[in-house]
Amino acid sequence: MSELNQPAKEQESFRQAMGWLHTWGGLVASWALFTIFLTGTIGVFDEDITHWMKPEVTAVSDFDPAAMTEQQRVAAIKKAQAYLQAHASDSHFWRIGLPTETDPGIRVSWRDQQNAAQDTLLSLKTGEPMPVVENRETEGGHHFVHMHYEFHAGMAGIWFVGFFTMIMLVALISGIIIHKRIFKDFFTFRQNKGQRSWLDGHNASAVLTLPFQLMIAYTGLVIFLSIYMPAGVLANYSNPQQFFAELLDEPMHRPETGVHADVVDLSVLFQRAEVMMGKPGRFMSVEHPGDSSAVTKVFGWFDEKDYYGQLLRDEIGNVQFDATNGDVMNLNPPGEYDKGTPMAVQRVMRIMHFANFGGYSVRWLYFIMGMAGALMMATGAILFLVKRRQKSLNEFGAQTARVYRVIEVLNIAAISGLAVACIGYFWLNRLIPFDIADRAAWEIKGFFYLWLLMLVHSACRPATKAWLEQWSLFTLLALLLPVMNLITTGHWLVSYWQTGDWVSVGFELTVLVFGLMSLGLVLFLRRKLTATERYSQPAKPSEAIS
Amino acid sequence: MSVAMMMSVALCYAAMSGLSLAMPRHLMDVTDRRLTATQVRVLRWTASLVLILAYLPMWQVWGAGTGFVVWVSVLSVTSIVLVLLLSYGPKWAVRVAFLMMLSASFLWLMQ
Repeated sequence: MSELNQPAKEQESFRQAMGWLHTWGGLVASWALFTIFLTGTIGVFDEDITHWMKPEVTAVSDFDPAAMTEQQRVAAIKKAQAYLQAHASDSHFWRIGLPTETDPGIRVSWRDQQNAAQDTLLSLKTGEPMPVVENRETEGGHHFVHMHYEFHAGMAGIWFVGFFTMIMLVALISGIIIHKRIFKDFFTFRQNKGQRSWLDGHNASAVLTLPFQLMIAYTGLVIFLSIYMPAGVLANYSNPQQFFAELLDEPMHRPETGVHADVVDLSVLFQRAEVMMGKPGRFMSVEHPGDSSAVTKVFGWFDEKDYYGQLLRDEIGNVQFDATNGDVMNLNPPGEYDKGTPMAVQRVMRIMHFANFGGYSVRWLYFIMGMAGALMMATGAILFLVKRRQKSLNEFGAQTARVYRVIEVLNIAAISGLAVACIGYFWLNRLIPFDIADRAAWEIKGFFYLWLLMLVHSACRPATKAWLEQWSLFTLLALLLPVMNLITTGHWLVSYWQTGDWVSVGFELTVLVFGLMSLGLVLFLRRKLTATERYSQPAKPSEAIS
Repeated sequence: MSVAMMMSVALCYAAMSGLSLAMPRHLMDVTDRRLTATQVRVLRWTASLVLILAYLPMWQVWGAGTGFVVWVSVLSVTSIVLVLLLSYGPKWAVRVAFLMMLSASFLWLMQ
C-alpha cells in the first residue's frame, strides 16, 4: 500500500513546494509587475496619448510629413546642422529627426558635455527653436513605455524589470502546476463570493490570456538579451562592439581620436543616402561630431502601415558615411531582412512584443490582454491577504500582523495609487505652465510625487478607507478630465468629435470608461464599508470584555 | 476592424461558448435541459471545428504566422467577454453566441 501511495505523495509535496514558490515569489514581484503591466499596457497607445498631450500641435499645423519634398527635407537637415554646430559643437552625439505627425518640426537631440540627453524642436521655417506655446514640451505616452521597461532609471531599471519578469515566468509556470482544475474551471467566475471570487478572478485572468502572458514576459526578456545574458559575448570577444559589428554585418564603432576634423555638409550626405536607398530619409545621427572619427548614419523613411502583418519586418534601410570626408562606409539596403536566423528570431519577438504589426485592432487586443495581466497581478496580491484575513497563518511569528499591514499598504499604493498617478499625469500635462524649465521632466516628477503621496496616504488610513478614497479620487480625475481639458485648452470630447480628431475622442472615451468602472468599484466598496460598520459596531463592547 | 477580424471574433466567441455549454455547470445556468453524452460530444466537436474555422480568415489576411498570433489573441479576448457574460448574465452569453454565428454566416455570404 505505502509503496503505491509513494508517487501520489511525492506529487503532492511537489505541488506544495510549487504553491509556496507561487505565493511568495508572486507576492514579492506583484507590485513591480503590476506597475510594469499597467504602464506597459497604457504604452500600447503611446503615440495616441502623445497626440492628446500635445493639443497645440493639431491646432498649429495641418502638415503631412510624408508629403515633404526633397528640397524641404534637405533644407531641414541644413537648418538642423547649423543649429547643432552653433549650440552643441562640443557634443559627442547628434541626432536629427525630420517632422512626424506628433512632432511638426525638426527634432534635434544631442548629448552634452555631461553626457546628458538634450533635445529641442526647430521650426521648419526659421530653423530656430519653436516657441513653447506652439509645442508643449512633454514625454507624452513614451513616459509609460519607459516606465514599463526601466522605471526611468536607465540600466538599473532595465535590470530591475528583467529580474521581476523572470519571477513572472516562474510564477506563471508554478501557477499552472498548482492549478488543478485549469479545464474544469476554464469558464468559471463566481462573483460576489469573497475569497472564491478573488481566486476565480486571478485564475480566469491568467488562464484565458496565458499564451499572451507567457509570450509578453518571454519576449520582453529577449529584447534585452545582450544585456541580461552578456557572458557569451564577453567570453569570446575582448570588445563587445566587435560582436555586434559581426552580427549586424556593419563596420565597427570607431573610438574617438581627439584629432579635430570638421563635419562635412550633412544635407549632401543625406541626399546621397536617399539616392542609394532609393527612398526618402527620415532621420540621421552623427557620432563624435568634430572629431576625425566622426561617422554619420542616415535612416530610410518608414510608415508603420507598410509593415502590417509582417512579424519579420523588412529593413527600413540605412547608409553609413565617414562624416569628415563623405566616404561611404556601409549600405544596408531596404528590403528583405538578411541578418541571419538568430537576429531574425529576436526581431520577430521584438515585433510581437511591440504590438505595432497590425494597427488598432491588434493594439486593442494587446490592451485588453495586458489589462487582464495587470488584473492577474492585482488579484493575486489582494488574494494573499484575503486568504489570511479570517485566520492569520503566523508566518512571521509575533511580527505577522505588522508584515500583513505592510503588504496591505503596498498593495493599495501599488494598485490604486499607481492608477491615480497615471491619470494625474494627464492633469499635470494641462496644468503645468508652458515656460517652466524642464517641463517634460516635471510632468514625470509630478507622476512620481503623486504616487508617493498615495503611498503615504495608504499608510495613514485604514485599508478599506484608503482603497475607497483613492478610487474615489481616480473616479473624479477620470470623469472630469474632459472638463479640465475644455477649461485649460478649449478642446474636449465634443469639439474633438466635431473636428474629426478621432484619436483624441478615443482617448477621452477610454478614460471615461475607466472612470465609470472605477465609479462602480467605489459604490461597491462603500456598500461593503457600511455593511461592515453595521456589523462591527455592536461587537465592540464584547471585544472589550473578552 | 476588417471583415476578417469581425468574422474571427464572431466565430471564436461562438466556439468558446459552445465549449462552455458542453459543461453541465454552465449549461445549468442557462437551461433546465440536460444533454446526453452524444449531444455533448457533438457540441464539443462542432465547437472545435468552428474554432479552427475562425483561424482561416486570419490566415488569409495576415498569413500563417501573424494570423496565428492574432487568432490566439482574439480567442483570449472573446473568452474574457464570454466568462463575464456567463457570470453576470448567462442567458445573454447564449443570445450573443447565436447572434455571433448569425453575423458570421452573414459576413461569409456577403463575401
